[in-house]
This record gives sequence, structure tokens and C-alpha cells, in this order.
Amino acid sequence: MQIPIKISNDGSEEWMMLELQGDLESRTQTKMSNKFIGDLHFTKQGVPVLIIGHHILYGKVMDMDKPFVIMNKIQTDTCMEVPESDTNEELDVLYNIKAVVKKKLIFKNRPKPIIASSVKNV
Amino acid sequence: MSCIERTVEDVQKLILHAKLTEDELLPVTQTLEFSPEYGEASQEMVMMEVDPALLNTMRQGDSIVLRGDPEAGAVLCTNNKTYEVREAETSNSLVLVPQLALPSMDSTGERTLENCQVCSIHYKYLEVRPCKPRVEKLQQILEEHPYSGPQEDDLTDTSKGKKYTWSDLLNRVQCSEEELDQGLRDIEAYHIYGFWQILEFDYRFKVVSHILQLIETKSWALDCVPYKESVEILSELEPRAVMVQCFEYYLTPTDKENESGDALYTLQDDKICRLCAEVLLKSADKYNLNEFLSIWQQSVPEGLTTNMSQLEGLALVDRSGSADAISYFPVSSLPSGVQERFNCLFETREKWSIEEIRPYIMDLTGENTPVNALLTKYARASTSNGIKYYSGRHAR
Repeated sequence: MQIPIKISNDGSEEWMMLELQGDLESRTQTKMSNKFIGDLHFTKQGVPVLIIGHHILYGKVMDMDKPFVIMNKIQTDTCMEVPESDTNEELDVLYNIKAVVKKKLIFKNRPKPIIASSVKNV
Repeated sequence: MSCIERTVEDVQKLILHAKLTEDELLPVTQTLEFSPEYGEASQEMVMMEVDPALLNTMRQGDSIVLRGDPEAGAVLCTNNKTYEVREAETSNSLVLVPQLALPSMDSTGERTLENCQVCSIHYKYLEVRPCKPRVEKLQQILEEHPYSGPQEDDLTDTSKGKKYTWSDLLNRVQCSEEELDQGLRDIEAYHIYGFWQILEFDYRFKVVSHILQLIETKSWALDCVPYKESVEILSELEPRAVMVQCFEYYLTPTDKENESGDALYTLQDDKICRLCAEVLLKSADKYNLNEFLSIWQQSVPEGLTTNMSQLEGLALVDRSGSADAISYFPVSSLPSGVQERFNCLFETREKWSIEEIRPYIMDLTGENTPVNALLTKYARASTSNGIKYYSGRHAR
């Protein structure tokens, strides 16, 4: 069984990734889409600072030794000619590379709680 | 694009509460939120870790294919390399934020906000690691329907097993195209009328015999065999495709030509001698070693010299009896799994010296596992009369 991996037409974009310890959770159990997560700042020394909920996290920018490719599966019912093959095959599935991640912001340090007298519900 | 009403003032208030100062921060703040489609099936993406060389291959648009097999894990193949694919899990959250930007260090000015959307969060990703092409299956697959000569060109006979085209093979064998090509060469496969087949043993010997007979009839020197002339004459005896490929398997080109401009080839001595030995060995259970060596030498073309080293991985010499004996024991008949191979070897013979066992485990070695490493892992060493022997780990 064979599944080709193709790269999308516009070459591939570079996306960014955050690496966090633990999970992002919603305080209420509602759907996550459209919900606000937090503010991302950078210090003048280039250190990323993330404020999520009542926590502040300091991280760093890392070049990845081994980049990630981001792929999505595409199902197609059409008859596609596969290059370098003797026959026309009906391909059902292929993976499409949408983007590459070469750098990530990694937040390894323990989050510091923000002790504030009056933090509005953000 | 932002779905939330967050203002610069909101952000600045939070900066204060967090005990940060505007002064220490660059002016652009990116507000993160989940995208509107977050969590939907359309957002299902797979992350795969690749090395820079592989990434380059992907970017150049070269062919990359995942090849699966019901019994083994999937592999990823470029044109010429194979990688094993494994799923890795992390306890960290890998948060994909496509448009997130790294700010320039020297930006100044008033605080501005930019909105960034998280499209998905991942805990799993695929790891790829270079591995050996999984070509062991190839011999097995092609044994389903060996070619036994032109009389079998009757296409209506469906009693034999399946025949495989190049594409069929790529569907079954987990390796790259170049590795498949090399694998087919290594097992002496022939491309016959669009299908890849190995020759049935007797037929193979018949075809090679035609070549040897022609050389003798024409009194050609063994290293001066004219290509075109040979192929023309031999194609009257067997299909041209078979003749040409057999010629290339058993002879090698030299740089020389004869007076007619025909390229001259030379016999591959060791290969021919080995084939002749195989014919003899297959026809009897075992031979007295000395008798065998004598018959063998007489059976090879004049001018070739037989040598025990030509029999590596083909025959076993038994020196335990009153007279030394030799019998047929080809590595190709042994299991391809490492543990099974060792089990079989130790069931056949309790103790092996390294010279005896090496030809029977060479094909199992890998980049990080040379012969010695395999022996350390799967065998137990002992010494007798100053010679090191290997036996099974769980021997009685």
C-alpha cells in the first residue's frame, strides 16, 4: 500500500510553534474555537513572554535541529496518474505538506502566578 | 480578524499587573486565540519530524512515498532511501500558530497589537529514522512464479502464482525505487515482457550453459567474449530479453573491442564456478569432500579454477565424520528474521567458528550492527583448542 506525500503548490510556508508544558484548558467547558488564550510579548533581548490567565511564562526561541512538516490527508476519488509508475492508479489518499516549522518558542520554566489585587476577567 | 475585543489598554493593564514594564518589551504584542475552525475535522493535521536533508528532498518536489505493510510498520521512501516511521508522543503541548512572527529587535514606537490564531495543538508526531530497505521479501515474492522458459508464454495458463510488474513490487516491498533496482539485481531477477521474475534453477543453468558452450565452440578466450555476436546467436536458442540479461549477470564488460568493433566481455569466474557447484550440490544429499572438489573442477569451463571461497553461504563442510563431507546449505533457504535465522543455524550445527557462520549472517548486518554485534547478542562464545566457537544462547 502506498501513500504519496506531496508539497503544496506555493512551496511551503513557514509556521511557528509554541511548546508548553501542560495543557491549555478552558475555565468553562465550552468549545475552544475563537476563545482568547493570552498575550505574547518579546523583551528587548528577544525573550518571549507569555501571559495566559493568571500565569506568566518566560521562554526562548529555538531553532529546531529537525524541523517539522505539517501535513494534511487528502482523499480523492479521481483517477490520478502517478509519475514514475507503469500504470494509472486510482489514488484514494495522499498527504499534502502545508507548512514547515523550523523554529519554536519553548516555555520550559515554571509559570509564575500573577498576584494582582484586581485582575479583570480577561 | 480578531474575534475578541481586546484593546491596547487591556494589554497594557495586564503588563502592569504582571509586574512587567513597557520599557523592557518590544512594541508589538501578539494576542493569541483559537481559530474559528479550531477542533474541526478539517483542521486535522499530522506533524512529522524530518532531518534537513529530507526536508530539502521534499522541497525539491522529489518523489516521497509512504509504503505500508500489514506485518511491519510503515516506511517513508525518497527516490533512493528508506526511513522507518514511528509515532512519538510528548507530554508537552505543541501549539501550532501559523502566522506568529518573531519581531525585529530594533523596532520602536507605540504599542500595537497583532492577532494570531492557534489552528491546532498536538501531542503526537511522526519520527523518521533512516533504515535498511526491506527487500528480504523480494526473493519470496518472486518465488511465487519463477520463469521456466518460453513454453510458459502461454498467457492462458493461470495455474501458477502471481507475476509482478515494477509498480506491483513497489506496492509490496518497503523500499525506494533505487533500492528496489539494486535488490532485484542482487537476487538476479529478470525483466521479462514487463514482469520481474527469477529464473527457475534448471532453466537458469540451461541458459548459462548455452553461453559457456558457445564460448567453447568458438574457442574464444574467456575474457574476450564478443557481446553482439554472442547475443545474436544465443537469441535463437532462448528469448532475447533473457539472453541479454543473463549475459550481463554472468559476464562483465572490458574496455576492449574486437576487430569488428564488438565490445568484449569477460566471464565472472567465481559466479560461474559457484553455479556449477550449486548444480552438483543440489543433486545429492552430501558428497565426500575430496570427491566433490574433483568433480567440481572437472565440471567448470577449462581455464577456470575452483576454490572453496566460492561456496560461501552455499555449502556446509562437515568435518566431524571419518571423512570430510560437503552438503547443500544455501543462505537463501534460511529464515530472514534474525532470531529465527540463528535458531535454524544452531539447530543445524551446534558450534560454528566465525568463518563458518559469517556468510550465513552477513545479510542481517546493519549500520550499527556488524557481525560481531549480532554474535554477541544472539550467540554464546566458547573456546576449544584455541579456536573461538559460537553456539546458541539456550543450548542444552
